[in-house]
Amino acid sequence: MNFYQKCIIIFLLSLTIIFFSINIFFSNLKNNVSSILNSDQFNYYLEVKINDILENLAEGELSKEKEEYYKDLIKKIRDKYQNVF
Amino acid sequence: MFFNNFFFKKKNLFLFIASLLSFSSFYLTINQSIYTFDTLHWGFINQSAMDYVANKTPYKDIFIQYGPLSVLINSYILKLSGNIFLSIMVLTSFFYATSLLLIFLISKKLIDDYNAFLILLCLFLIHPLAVYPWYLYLGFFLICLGIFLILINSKLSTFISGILFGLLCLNHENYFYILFSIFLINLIINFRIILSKQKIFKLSLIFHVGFLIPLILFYTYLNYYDLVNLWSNNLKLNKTYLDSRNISLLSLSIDAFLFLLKTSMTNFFEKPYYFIFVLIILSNLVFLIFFFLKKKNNLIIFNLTLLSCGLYFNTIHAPTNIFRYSTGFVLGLITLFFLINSLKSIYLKKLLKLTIICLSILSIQFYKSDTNPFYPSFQNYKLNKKTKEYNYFKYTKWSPKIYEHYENLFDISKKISSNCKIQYFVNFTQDGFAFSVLSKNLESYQYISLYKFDYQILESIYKFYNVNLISETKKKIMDEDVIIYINKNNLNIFNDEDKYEKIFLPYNYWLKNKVLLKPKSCSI
Repeated sequence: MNFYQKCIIIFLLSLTIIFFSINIFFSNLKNNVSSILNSDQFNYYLEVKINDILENLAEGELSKEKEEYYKDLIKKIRDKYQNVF
Repeated sequence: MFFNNFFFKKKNLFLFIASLLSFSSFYLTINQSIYTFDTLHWGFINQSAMDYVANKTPYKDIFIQYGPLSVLINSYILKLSGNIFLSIMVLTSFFYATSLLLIFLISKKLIDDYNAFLILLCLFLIHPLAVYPWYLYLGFFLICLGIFLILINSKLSTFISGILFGLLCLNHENYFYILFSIFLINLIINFRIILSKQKIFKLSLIFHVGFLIPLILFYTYLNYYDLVNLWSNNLKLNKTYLDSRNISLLSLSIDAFLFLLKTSMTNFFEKPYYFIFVLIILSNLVFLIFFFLKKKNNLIIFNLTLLSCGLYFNTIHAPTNIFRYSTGFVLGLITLFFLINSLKSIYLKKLLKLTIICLSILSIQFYKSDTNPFYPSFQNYKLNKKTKEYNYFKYTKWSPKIYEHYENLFDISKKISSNCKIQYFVNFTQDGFAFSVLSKNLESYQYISLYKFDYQILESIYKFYNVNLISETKKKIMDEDVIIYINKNNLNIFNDEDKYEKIFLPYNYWLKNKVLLKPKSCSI
């Protein structure tokens, strides 16, 4: 094997090692993400987070601007889903 | 001393690694199957086998989509294991693992130990585990064992090989079309070679006698039980599938090939196995051209190449299912390596083989993908530690909610069966396991155990057998003689029946919202 032939083989092997490593990394990532999304802990986290958001929304006074904004928003939702309600 | 002597011989080392890979495939398949929950494919295959165990008549009472052989073998293993459905997958994994080892032995005979090892490695890396209890794995096993026996080159082995190829046609009738085409091509092209060499002529005669034996026995069986018409009617299923898709065989083949070409380019790094499949097709074509130009005259490789080309047709209706390529078409890898080996430049040989191996290494997918759609998540391993001792689902490790669902279903159907005069149930879902669970307490009038509303292919099959399940069920509803298992989304189909009440089964992620409809008059 001459120098160029060796270079081609080394290039091929390096490429394979790099892509294989990327493959392993993303496979792990995918599996971890899917495990987290399907876990009870994540459901619990969502519940706590949603409660937190609702608590924050319930606290304090409603400004005039926000009142108008929510009125408008709820009207739009009501109009859209009138048939469903 | 023995250890050193054994492993220092290269061919023994290759054989040892090949056996190791084959065993790994067997072990990993079983290990993965424990966590796999597939109500559609696994449930369907399992139900056909259970029907046969229950002494129902094939074609008449049992819907045989592919061929009778796999149903027969599955039913025997089910009976032996005491109705544990996972046993079918153990058998399938045995077939696939043994086929891998046989491919190694075949390649070893046709090329050499080193190339045989590389071919096996490629196969293992592309599709390491059997993923469905499908007839294709049994077919692949019969093909590999048949070829291996032909290579032994004795009269007895050729005769047994003929029997195995005959059995292959009973595994799925489509194999017959492939084998018959190969037979015709051989008759036209190699007519002189076969006639001039007396040994080849004799062996091919013995092969064909063996080939005809299972077919004649099967025909006698059909004739005895008056099933010939039903069976021959079943042969038209291929046309029904094509009609339901509104496509011809030629267009489907072209579409599948174009898909393969396109995916091999666009997904080269993500799914390099498609590129290997394109290489196999190309090498098959190159070999056939050389053969016709009389530059290569290896009869075995010629027939193997034809077989690989023929088995490609197993993939065309679902070209993303890698297991379809890996259970037949991949035989073409032998042709590919045979051609590479016949190159003059040693460097080019090494480079091409290295490229194929590198592509195969990149084909390993450690997540749910085309090569392994049931790759279990860490979640499965962590949560589903407990196995259920309930006989039918024994050794599985699913979510406890799935077991609860089926236990609930079993209890309700048992109460209905003992408290009310209801004889039948009907399954309007794709949940094959529910069919099996319900059938323990009630009878079914369903020819096909699964149903999906507005699904063209299934509707065409129902039409093909002149079955209108909805109207049949509505008649039974009038008599209050049926309970209905249905998805919540499809409730509107039977919603106007005021005689019936709904039992909503608890929601779970895997089975979603399922409902059981029972007559109001039946109190449980």
